Amino acid sequence: MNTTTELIRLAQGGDAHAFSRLYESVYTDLYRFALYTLRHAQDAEDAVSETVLDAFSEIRTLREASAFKSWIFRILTAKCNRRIRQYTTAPAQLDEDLGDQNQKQETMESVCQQTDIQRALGVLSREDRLIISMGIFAGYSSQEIGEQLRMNPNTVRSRQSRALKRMEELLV
Amino acid sequence: MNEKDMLQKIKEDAQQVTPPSSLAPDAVEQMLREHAKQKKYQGERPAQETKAPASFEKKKRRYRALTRYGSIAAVFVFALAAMWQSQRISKRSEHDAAPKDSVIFETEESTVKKAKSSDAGQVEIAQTQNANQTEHVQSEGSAQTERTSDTKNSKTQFKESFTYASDTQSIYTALYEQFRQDYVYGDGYSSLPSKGMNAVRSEMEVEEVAPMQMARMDTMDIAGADTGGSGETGADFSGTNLQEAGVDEGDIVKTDGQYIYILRRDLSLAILKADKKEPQLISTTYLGSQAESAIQEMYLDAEKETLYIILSEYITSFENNADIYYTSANRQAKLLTYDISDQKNPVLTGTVTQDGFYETSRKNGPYLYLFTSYHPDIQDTYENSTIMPRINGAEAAAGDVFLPEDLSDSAYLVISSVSTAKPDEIADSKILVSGASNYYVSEENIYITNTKYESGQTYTQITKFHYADGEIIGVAAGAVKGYLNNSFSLNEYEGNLRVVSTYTGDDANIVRDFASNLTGKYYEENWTEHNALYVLDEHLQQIGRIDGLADNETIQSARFFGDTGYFVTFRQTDPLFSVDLSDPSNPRILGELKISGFSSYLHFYGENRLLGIGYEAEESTGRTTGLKLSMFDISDPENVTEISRFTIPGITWCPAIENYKSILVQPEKNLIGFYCDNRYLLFSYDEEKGFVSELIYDFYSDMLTGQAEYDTMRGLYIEDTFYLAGNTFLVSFDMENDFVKAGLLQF
Repeated sequence: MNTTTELIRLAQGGDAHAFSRLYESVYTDLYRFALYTLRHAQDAEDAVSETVLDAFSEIRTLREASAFKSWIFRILTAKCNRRIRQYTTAPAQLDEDLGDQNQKQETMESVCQQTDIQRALGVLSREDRLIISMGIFAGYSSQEIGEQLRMNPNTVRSRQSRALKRMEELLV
Repeated sequence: MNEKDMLQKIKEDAQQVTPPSSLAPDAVEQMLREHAKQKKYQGERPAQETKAPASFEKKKRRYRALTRYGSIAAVFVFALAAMWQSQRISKRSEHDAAPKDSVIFETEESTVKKAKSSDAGQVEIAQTQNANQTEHVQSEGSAQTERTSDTKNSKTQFKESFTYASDTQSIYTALYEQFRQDYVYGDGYSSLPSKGMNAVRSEMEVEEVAPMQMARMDTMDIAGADTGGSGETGADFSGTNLQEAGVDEGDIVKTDGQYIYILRRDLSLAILKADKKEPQLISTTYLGSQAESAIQEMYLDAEKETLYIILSEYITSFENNADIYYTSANRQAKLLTYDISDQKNPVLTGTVTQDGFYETSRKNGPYLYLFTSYHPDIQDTYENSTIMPRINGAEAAAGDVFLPEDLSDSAYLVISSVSTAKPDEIADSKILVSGASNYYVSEENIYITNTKYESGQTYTQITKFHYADGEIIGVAAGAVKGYLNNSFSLNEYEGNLRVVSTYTGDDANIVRDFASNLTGKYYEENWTEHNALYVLDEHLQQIGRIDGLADNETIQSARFFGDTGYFVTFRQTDPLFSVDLSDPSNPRILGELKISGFSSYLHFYGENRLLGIGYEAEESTGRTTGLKLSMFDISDPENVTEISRFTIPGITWCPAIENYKSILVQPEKNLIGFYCDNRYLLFSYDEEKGFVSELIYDFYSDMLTGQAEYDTMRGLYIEDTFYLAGNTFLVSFDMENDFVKAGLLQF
């Protein structure tokens, strides 16, 4: 049985298996984080795999073993944040591109399958969703969230609480 | 349901989600191996570089463009050397001996050159010429500042000039530089500084693209002054619990003494005829059809028979631009004006909208002031970005945007005024590029605070706007060290602002190490907290201070009354400090009363009495054990005593007492009421007997459980009847007959 520290040392040396063992402990939460933030299965999947690639090539910069989870979520946060910003720039092209038809159907389907909670999350702004996900799935404190998103921790707290209140209103 | 429950629900909901097989660990391992092979084939390229180039390229181009146009400056400089101050002083001069010295009104529009680019596609940039050249008007003040300043506060220099942006592009550029580039590659999640980013940054400096300079504001916290009860003089009914007498605040329930108006969560307005035995529902008016709308607050002008109702809306629209379809979502606040001269049939007489998330509002005289926070959409190009909020359908003017040199947050605070005579129009608007944590509005000024965390220390920036008759004028900006407990930490008196704050000791060694950072360990063990009281003059310049108070305790509540201030700090016991503020430049602690527990809300209760509502706590651990009401005798501020206390063991969490509008405190009627633990608790105070429990109404007794929560119901009185008004019920009690239940209307 390898300890986390050993796994990290191995991964830092380029051992893909060691890395995947580390990844195993967090990947469900990584995916949930991405899905609940981005609300799109394919995007969530892409964000997580990009995170994996970056994390694997950057793991040598990780100094403390216990920080692995926090660290990989930080990468994912950056990925999601970037996508969030892209959504607003890139207009969705709804017609013409027939090749995309399948994917669209998939999206529609997944919308139908959404739970009430997921639908309620959908009305939050993307940033608010990111803030909520960072708290729930990555376990970041509002201070940590603030540092990563360049917001002050009080703003984070008030946005969290407003967002939750808003969800609550919709779910009543 | 509280926030924790909601978080738990989301967590549980997420348990059902399983990642796709492509993300399973073995699939990922496979992917990594293939990727490694590919990388070998292509040659080593760190991941960071493979992602970043496109955006870096863009930035470089931008900065070159900046140099080319960098000298074309366009900035409005408002030298706000107390332009309103002369008015203020003359208004007060009858009862105020303040000398009318050296008050200068100055508005300069200096060097306003419109940048005109012949190449429409080019990036055009406005450069801020240092607006800091305005001399301080007062000389005495600066001398005092020197006296009180020390090395600890060297960071707290303040700036009294306001620069308004000249055009939206300059706002965009400032925001882009400050925020957007951080997002491009997530602010670097590796512990190694990103060389690429640094290179770009230094290039920027070399090319003299005057970066917006940050004004370090003096940290100041203010404690709320005497806020009176809310009932209008002469009328025998309760009003909303206000922070500042004379400045009205919105709420979900209002009364004019005859009718009770209830703003309901289902987006409707219920008007009820008040009656001790048989209250009646007169009308129900639906306020909107937007599924995404939510009620916020309302104001009642009984004289004009008008209600002003504020909703927040979330609007999604579908747009089509050259065969490209896109959706846009937008949050806005909406002010609806209803003529209620016929209570059966309220008539909508005006609507205004303002982009952003509704924060708060005030009403003073015939003007309403709306505060929203707006998040601009900052993209890689100016054209793709949405920089300006719309105010009543029209894009806000760049000239109304105050762009602080120190941009700490890309959010805007939007303030608009609406005249009640013209409910379809915006009278004036100002925008402050800043986050906002607390709002304090005195009879003449608006104070917005924004807490900023920087290298282990927290600062509270304060921006002051003067307002009168709908006009909103930027006046000054300042800052104090530390953070504020709530808006009651601020109080204006005779032109000065008093602030109480909690700050981190300078001796703390902040752990900035990347790896430990992620484990959540931020501070070394010698991290401490202290409290301070500041007095700022009308320019928000510090003239007096007491600091280093109550080590390792935090401020829980504050209240000011003229020359005296009171505040409570807490860790394990509750010192109630009293402060003499009669010499603003030399505030003095008069007394310190240590008792167990703490008050989280303070309210002056008749002559020489101060009411505290809070919690009892174990002295050894500081753990709260029950709800506590305290009455303090403040006739001798040097020897404040607790003359009565009432505790309810077991109640350790009562969110209603954090929301002052949900608390009823009416010394004139001798009533103290609030919602707690599915009950409404009502007390009176007797000099002999102390606190007397007048009514404990359990909502369960009428099966109203779940329909009453502190944020959806209010207690109020009209003459000798006490009412509990909620979304679906109105319960009445006979105050002359021992508060027995007299009527119940469900609707």
